This record gives sequence, structure tokens and C-alpha cells, in this order.
Amino acid sequence: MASIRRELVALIERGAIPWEQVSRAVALSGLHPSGRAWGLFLDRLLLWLGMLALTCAVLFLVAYNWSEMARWLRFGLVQAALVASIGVYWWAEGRGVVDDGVVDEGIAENIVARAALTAASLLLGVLLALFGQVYQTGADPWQLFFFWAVLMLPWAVVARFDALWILWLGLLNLSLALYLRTWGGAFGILFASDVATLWGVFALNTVALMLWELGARRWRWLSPGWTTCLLALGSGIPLTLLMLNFILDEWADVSAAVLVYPLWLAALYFVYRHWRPDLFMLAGGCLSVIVVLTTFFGRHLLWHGGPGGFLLLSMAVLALGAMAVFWLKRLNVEMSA
Amino acid sequence: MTHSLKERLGQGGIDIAESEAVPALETPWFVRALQAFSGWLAAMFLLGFIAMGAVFIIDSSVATAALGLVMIAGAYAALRAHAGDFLEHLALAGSLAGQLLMAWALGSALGDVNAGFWWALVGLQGVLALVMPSLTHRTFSTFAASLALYLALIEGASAPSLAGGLVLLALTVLWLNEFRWPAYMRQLQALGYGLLLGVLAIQVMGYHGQSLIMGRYHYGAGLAWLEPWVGDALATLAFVLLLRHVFQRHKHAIAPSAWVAAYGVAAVLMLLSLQAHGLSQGAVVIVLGFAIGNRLIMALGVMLLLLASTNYYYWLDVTLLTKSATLFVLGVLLLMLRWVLHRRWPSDRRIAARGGENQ
Repeated sequence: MASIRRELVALIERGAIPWEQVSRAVALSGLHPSGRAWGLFLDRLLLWLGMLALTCAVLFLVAYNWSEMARWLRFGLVQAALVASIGVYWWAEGRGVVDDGVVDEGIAENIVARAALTAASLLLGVLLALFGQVYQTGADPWQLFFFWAVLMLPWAVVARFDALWILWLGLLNLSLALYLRTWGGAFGILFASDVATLWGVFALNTVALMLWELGARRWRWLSPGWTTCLLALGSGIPLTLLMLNFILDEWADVSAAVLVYPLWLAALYFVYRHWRPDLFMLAGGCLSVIVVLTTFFGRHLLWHGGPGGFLLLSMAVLALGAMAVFWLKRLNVEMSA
Repeated sequence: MTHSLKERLGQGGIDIAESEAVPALETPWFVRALQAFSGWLAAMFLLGFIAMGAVFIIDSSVATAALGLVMIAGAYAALRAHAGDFLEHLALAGSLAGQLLMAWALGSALGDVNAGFWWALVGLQGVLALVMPSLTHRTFSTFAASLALYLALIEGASAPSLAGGLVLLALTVLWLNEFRWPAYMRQLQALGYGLLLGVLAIQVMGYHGQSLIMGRYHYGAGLAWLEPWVGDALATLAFVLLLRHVFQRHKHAIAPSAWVAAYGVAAVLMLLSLQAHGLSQGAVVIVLGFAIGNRLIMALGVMLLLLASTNYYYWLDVTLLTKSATLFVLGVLLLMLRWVLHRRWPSDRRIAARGGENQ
């Protein structure tokens, strides 16, 4: 769909298609979905929205904390919904992919099974929240998300579904961030808790990104795309913030970020320039460099430089931005060749 | 260029002119975003330079407006010249700083940030969106015009949801006609992306940005009687237009019962949106993205839908128990509808399952 649009727009833009024939060319190109594609789209939309609405209905009921509803009834309701989701998964898996799946180069996607396991994973979190609500366990919030992630791991493994793995990683990120913010963890000896949180999130997402990229070479359902972009953001944003924290902290003499940041940039460049070309990742790296350098120059120029400092900084940002865009455009041509 | 598209067009009788020239590649959205970000950042520093180094200009509204106008005119000339990435960046930054200076001068002249101020900004950004010879600038100006419209309608008419509805209607019409004028295709797309970002920002401000309005929103004034349903009504109108467009495209393949069912879904969506505001907007953008084969628009639609769901959770007019019951009924209805579709078109779906992904 995306490549058809790109090609068609390029043809129209360079005038390869006579303008009076453009509307017919659009109709013939296959850019707009056929009636059958509409059927498939509606099928998926209704399935996912229906599943999410039912899951949210259970979540909202638990959040309402209805005192007139006995606790055994509340537990029974959530557990019944959970068992029903797993039941639907077994039923859909048993039926195979003939009716519900999409066959894509040998990979069978059972959409109903995936939706059911996603619902079960979400309901598991609702059940744990209900447990904490009813028994007032006094547990820290990070424990909820951590045990949620641990308990849903088998389902993420069997589902072979990238969105479910992202949910799992999101839960791990949340529990790690909450834990480090509260206790500081092993990093707490060395860093303040906010810095420790950033280091923790950076380490987790960087490892996850590396494993995802390596796993994608073996399992096609892990194919890189929005998922790896999300993980790269989860890796790059905390490291950039660590660098900003170091630059703006007037008491800091040295930070591990100064060592890790260039290594991370070098790895990003090598991997996404040569190993698996990806322009989005390189653009993210450029943005990070612009932000870090601007902050560095800004700290030294604005505090002592007066109006000239502003002008100098403005020109520096323009130069950095122009260089980045020039380089990225050149790479875009190279990667599209 | 793949042969399949050329072959397909050739088989359909479309004459494709062969050219030795290397086709200009579309710059990816994230590179444009990077360009806009660095231009905006540079504009802020440029403004800092003017504010500190030329205070005498800022003191006079006329001088500030004149400087702003000169900067915008300079940016226009530089962008028309297509003189490379650095000059394009400089032009973007100069134009943004010029716009902020014009806004400052306008605020000083009016003595208050009122509806007139925001309407003037709508006009300024609208003109820039139409004339500036840069796709990034057009997108940014359209986005800024959408936000200014939102604030103008809050200040002047106490009708915040009207802006979201109007912008959604405009973007639906625009995207459905993106290929109608081939010479302006790219420009229309740039405006379309700006409007989409505008809808997203309006939703975010509507749900979480009450502090931005700073108590200036007066219930009961102006067009407040239209609130909050007018935004959802306009979104439903956009949905109906979209359905009509799709039905015209497939007029020979769709049974009359499907027409009735689809318009029925639009009505139900409107009713549901009266509870979960923004639901219809998310749905329209998702369906629009699919209808015109644009995944970026679909992704923005999913974000709108998630925003609407979050807003629904925190909406205080109805208890969580009522919301739970509503969602339960909605979920059952959606799955039943899917079951009905399965029963009616089982074979079509199987074929689509094999063929749809190969597109």
C-alpha cells in the first residue's frame, strides 16, 4: 500500500501520467482498497474494537469498586472473562487459520487467537489489580506490573505476536522505572533515583532492541518495523536525557553517559547505515545529536554571551539541522536505489 | 519503480511517459519533522537575539510588525529560490520568528489576547499555508491555523468542539480529493497533514489542556448551546461524506442493504460519541486512512481513538459502572456485527485473506 502510493505520487509528480488520466490511474493502481480488502479491514476492525470494548468493560467495572458486589462475584467475573479468552484462543487455534488467518509467505496469522490472547493478557492485569484492591496487600505499584509481565510471558511466547511483546516490554519498563524511582536499586549507590531510572530504562530497551534485531533474522513474525522504532526511542530518549542532565548539572564532574553516548551513536550508525539500513533510526540519532549539542552550546553561550550568543546558537542549530537533512536526503536516495 | 504498477497502468491504457531523469524522491515525514524542529528551535534563538539586541524594535508595535513582515517576505523569497538545505532552514527559522513578531505586535496593538487576535492569526497562517513554497512550511502553517481557530472559537464563541469538527471535515474533503488537481497534489497533501496534526493537538488540548485556556472559557456565551455535540455531528457528517465517496467508488459491488447498514453504523457512532467524545473523530480518520491507502493517517487515527478512550475513562458526568455497561453492550454489538458479516460473506473474506495482504 505504502509503496504503491510512493510510486504513484512520484509518477504523477514528474508528469509521467497525463493529468487528464490521473484519476483513472489512481483507480487502476490498486492504491484504493478493493471490496474484498474492505471486507478484511472491517472484519479486523470489528474484532479488535469488540475485544477491547469487552476488556475495558471488565476493567471499568473493577475500577468502579462496587461495594454492593460481593468480592467472590468480582473475582469470579474477571476470572470467567479470563478463562473465556483462553477458551476462545484454544478454539481458534484448533480451527486453524483457514477461516480467520492471513497467509503471508508461509506465515499463518490467526487473528482471532491473537486477539483472544491479547484480551487474556490485559485481563490478567485487571485480575492482579482487583487482588490488590480487595486485599489491600500494600504492595508497591512496581510489583503489580512486574508480576503481570512475568505471568503473561508464556502467552507472549506462544502468541508469536509483536504487539503482545511490546505490551510485555512496556510493563517491564513501567515496573523497572517505578522500582528504580522508589528504591534506586543497584544503581542507587552510584546515582540519584531519577538518573538511575533513566539508566535502567535505557539498558532494558537497548538490550531488547538488540535481541529483537537478532531475533528478526530468525523469526519472520518479529520483522522490524514500528516495534524496533519504538524500542529505539525507548533506548535513545533516556540516554539523550542523561546527556542533558550531565550538561545542565553544574556540580557534575563526570558521567558514564559521556562514554556511553558516543558508543551508542557509533553502534546506531553502524547497524542502521550498513547492517540493516533504516533512515528513521538515523534521523533519530541526528535529532539526539542536535539536541545535545544545542544544549551544550546554549549552556556556555547563553549564560555568558548576551544577544550575540543567541544569534550564534541560532546559526549553529540551522547548520546542524541543514547538515542532518542534507545527509538524510542523500541516504534516502541511496537506500531507495 | 516496480514493473507491476507500470504494467498495471499500461494494461489499463494509461500512457506512461518514459523519462531518463531520476524521479524526485518524497522526503520521509520524519526528515520533514526534523527540519521543522530545527527550524523552530533556531527561530526561538533568533527571537531571543532580537528581543535582547533590539529592544527598541520590540517596544514599537509598528516596527515589530514591519520587521516580522520583512522576515516573512525574505523567507518567501529564499524558499522560492530553492537555494539548498541551509537556506531553506534559514528561511523556515526566519519565517517562524517573523510570525511570532507579527503575533507580538498584534497582541500589543489590540491590548489583549482576545478572539480578534486569534482570528487574525488564523488569517495569517491560512495565507502562509497557501502561498509559502515549502511543504514543511505549509504543513506547519496549517497546523498553527487549526490551533488558532480552536482558540478563536473558545474565546469568541465558547465552542471548542466546533473547531475540531470543522478541521476534521476539511481534512476529510481534502484527502478525498488529493489527486483531483495533480499540479497541486503535494501542496494538498502538505495541508492535509497539517490539518491532521491540528485535529490531534485540538483533541489533546481539549482533553488535558484546560489550563492552557486559563479560565477564559465561558459557559453559556456565544455558541455554547452547540456544545458538546456539534463536534461529533460534524465528525458524523465527515463520516457520511467518506461513506458516500467509497460507495461511489464501488457502486456496482455494494448491495443496497450494505448502504443502509453503513449509514446506520454512522448514526450509532454519533450516538456513542455523545458519551465518548472524540470516538467518531478517531473512527473517521482510521477509515479515511484505509480508504485512501495511507497508513500514516491510519496510525494517527489510532492515536485519536486511544485519546478518546482515555478521556472517556476520566469523564466525570457518568459513573464507571455506567461506562462499563455501555462498553459491554458496544463490545457485544461489534462482535455480533462481525459474526453477521462472516455469515453473509464467508467466501469473500477467505479470498481477501489471501489476496489482501499481497497488495
